[in-house]
Amino acid sequence: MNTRAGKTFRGLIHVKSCSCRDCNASNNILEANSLSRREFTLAFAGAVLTMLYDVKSAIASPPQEVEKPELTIGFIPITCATPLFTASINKFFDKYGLKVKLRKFSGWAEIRDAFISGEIDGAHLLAPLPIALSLGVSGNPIPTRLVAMQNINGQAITLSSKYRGKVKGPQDLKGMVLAVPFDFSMHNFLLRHYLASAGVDPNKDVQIRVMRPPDMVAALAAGNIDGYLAPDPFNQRAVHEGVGFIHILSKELWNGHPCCSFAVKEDFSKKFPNTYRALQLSFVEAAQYVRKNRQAIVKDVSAREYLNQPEQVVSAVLTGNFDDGRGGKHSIPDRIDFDPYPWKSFAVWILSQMSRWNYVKFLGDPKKLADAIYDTEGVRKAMAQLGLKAPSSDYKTERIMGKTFDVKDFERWKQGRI
Amino acid sequence: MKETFSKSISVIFISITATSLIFGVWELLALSGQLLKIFPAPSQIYDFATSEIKNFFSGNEGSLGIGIHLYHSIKRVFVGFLIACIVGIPIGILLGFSGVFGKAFYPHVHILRQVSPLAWLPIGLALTRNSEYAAIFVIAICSVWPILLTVASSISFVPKAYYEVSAVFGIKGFKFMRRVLLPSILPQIIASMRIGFGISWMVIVAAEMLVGNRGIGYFIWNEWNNLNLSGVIFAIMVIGTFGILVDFLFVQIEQNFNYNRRR
Amino acid sequence: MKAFLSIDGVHKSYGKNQVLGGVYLNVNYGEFVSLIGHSGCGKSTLLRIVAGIEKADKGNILLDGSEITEPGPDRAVVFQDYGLFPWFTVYENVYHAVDSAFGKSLDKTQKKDLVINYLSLVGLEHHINKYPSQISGGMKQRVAIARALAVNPKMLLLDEPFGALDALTRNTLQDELLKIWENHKKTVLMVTHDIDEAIYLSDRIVIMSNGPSAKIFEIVNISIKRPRNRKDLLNHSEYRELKGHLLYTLQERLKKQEAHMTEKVNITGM
Repeated sequence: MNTRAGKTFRGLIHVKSCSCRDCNASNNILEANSLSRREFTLAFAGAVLTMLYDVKSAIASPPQEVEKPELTIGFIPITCATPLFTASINKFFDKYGLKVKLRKFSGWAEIRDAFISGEIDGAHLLAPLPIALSLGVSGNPIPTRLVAMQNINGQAITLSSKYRGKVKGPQDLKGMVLAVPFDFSMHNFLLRHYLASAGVDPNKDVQIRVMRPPDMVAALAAGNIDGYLAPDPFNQRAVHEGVGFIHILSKELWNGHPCCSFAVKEDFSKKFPNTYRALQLSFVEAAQYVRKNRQAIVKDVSAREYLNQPEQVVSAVLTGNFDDGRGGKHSIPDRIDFDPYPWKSFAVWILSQMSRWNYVKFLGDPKKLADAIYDTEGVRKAMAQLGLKAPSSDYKTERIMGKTFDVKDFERWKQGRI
Repeated sequence: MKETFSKSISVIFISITATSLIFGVWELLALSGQLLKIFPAPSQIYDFATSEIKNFFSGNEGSLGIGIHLYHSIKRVFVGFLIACIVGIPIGILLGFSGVFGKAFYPHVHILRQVSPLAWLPIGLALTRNSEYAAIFVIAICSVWPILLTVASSISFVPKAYYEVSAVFGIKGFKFMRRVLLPSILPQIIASMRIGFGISWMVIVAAEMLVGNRGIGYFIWNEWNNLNLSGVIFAIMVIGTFGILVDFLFVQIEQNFNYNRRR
Repeated sequence: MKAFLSIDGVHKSYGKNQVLGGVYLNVNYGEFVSLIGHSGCGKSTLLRIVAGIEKADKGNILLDGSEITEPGPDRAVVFQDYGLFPWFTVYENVYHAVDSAFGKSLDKTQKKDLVINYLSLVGLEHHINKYPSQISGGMKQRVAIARALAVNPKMLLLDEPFGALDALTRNTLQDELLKIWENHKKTVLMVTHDIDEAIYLSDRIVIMSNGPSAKIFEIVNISIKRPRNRKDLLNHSEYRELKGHLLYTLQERLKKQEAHMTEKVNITGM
């Protein structure tokens, strides 16, 4: 037979121009294609079983055994963690054979310590934290591996209401007291970069204070701080409480910047490869779900044991339809976005800034570190398995506050010559 | 008889009237907008309280009842307090007896007892590598001092007569400890435990604010995270109520060991 | 005749204060000796040194041939403030003394019987499960006496045993004590403020000089025949003489601070 179909299904399917032995050269294809009853039953049973098996494996167990199905994952109650909530509430974890217990932490130091001590298996960590841990900044190096990038964008600079109309750009922030949630955070580095871009020295011309986000809103109300660069929903919350306004979204500083990551220890990913894969799959699928159902998930993720915030605040953040607290109404759908792909360029930028502001003294090859921590290959595979389009390269050119950043610019940006 | 009855009435009357007055003024201040928006009125707290009490033992993962949190806190306090007693009482006796040891460790004891629970927390975490044990460690290390010090000082107040009678009648060593010394300081030990428990309970809130995932301290922090002061204040009331109940229990026990009362 | 208790040159100071400046006294077996003197003359201190609760600086004490260094149930003490443990019942107070004194040489039942026996002796058999806070001062002292006797001491040391009680109770207990002493033949050394009590109970009364550095001033023999009857005593001429002498001694002669040194005292001396 020369037809493609014939070659493929020889013996079973006969086409009009079939010239196989079984063919009775009949024009009745159906008749020619008829199988004996026994053959048919077997084939039917086989088909049903295969179908069932496929369905079962799609719903229940992954193709391979998960080594450690019971896991504890820590999170901080900010909107960056939304995919984790959804993965739990909408049972994406369960789908891949995982029994995950989410555990809320009140601060970054606590979640970091629990991660280091092994009390939690995986954690929601600020993007610079896995890098800081792997370098051993606060103790022994703890090689960390990203399951995925948890979210991009999703932060903002919020200022006290009394500055409405008075602040045009970073130069107007001189002399202010500004809060960030942690030293090793995108918030800290973005703020510093923002200030430095207008010649404001972050160490001398402003006071940068580390504070917990809920305390920031209260401090803003009380006048203890002038503003902050913090994760949502605390920017929108300040607007909601009438104590502040959103000066600029972080997306406007660097569209697509990494914010928080979802990480496990490198040991974990090596010791429990199937579990690790399952985590990646469930997370990536949950992230997609979040992107497509932003309004629908608001009620669930606002619950007390998750975000514990008023629904309208959470909705404003997730949908991007929000009031900025100084009369403007906006519709920016990717105010916060969930792209799990861990571009290695992120890691290189973070390293350059950590060095720039003397948080580390890094003298190695940033690409090597990025390779160790960022699992582009794994996320790519997970995305493919889920039928999503994944980037084929590990690096991209970033556009940060009007300037381009490439891996080759590492040294220059490290020294602040931008 | 009549006098004590009328006294009790007066006490109750004053208590209720004063409380109502405070709440009344508070409510008025809130209604008239004198307070910060963040600060709730008693009526708001009441609303929050009624809905919480309905869900006291709710096991709904998204929104756990405050009863569940209370249960976890009680567990931790119980263990921490027990450890404080087991460590504090024997060491207190040792330091009370031995002039040399007592003086030698004076600086250690008096420096350590002033350390705030929030400072112990990172130390506890570093030592135990587990947030649950760290919380219990913090509770124990904060409440051990009043127990230890009271027991140590109680030794010096054991009447000389007891030693003399024991010496004369040959009650020595372990028998002396068990039959004379311990019973004679038992009322003070119990009094110290009452104080110690009060501290344990106070510390749990601080300890859990930082490391708990379940517990009344965590509840408070979580409510604060949502800038819900009603929740914080309500939790404080729950904490206070439980504390009073336990204290009352201790008073009953103390009275039972008051050797001088007519039984 | 060898003395049962021999106090030989006992000196005692507290810091710079010398309370006892050389006490020499012999007490015979089965004797009832009272120590009297002004407050602060050290009579209690002397008793406590005999008991072993205090230690003499100089001199030694021999009881039945052996030197005393430690307290023990061989010299049972009855204290002025009873010395009962408030967390023990009447029964337990006596029992634990008996238990410690006899140890394993008696079994539990024997000890129990002993305790009940002595508590009955002092008339408290119906109060054995009461606590000290539930009984009167007189009853408490009875318990203390029962306890002291139950451990079968060689000597009974009484430190102003009835000082805290009212006159009627005191009289009752004195009579009971006398009866017990007559039946049990114990050697007794008692410190008291009460002259009448001393005369009523004792074979000899030892008068101590005033402090500091007190010594034995005089020993008075009480030759009133036993058994003694309180009613008769008051009419006894010897009683009036003795009391007069003692009063005079305490009030007049001692004031002159005459330190009458008695090295070895005559048994019948007056």
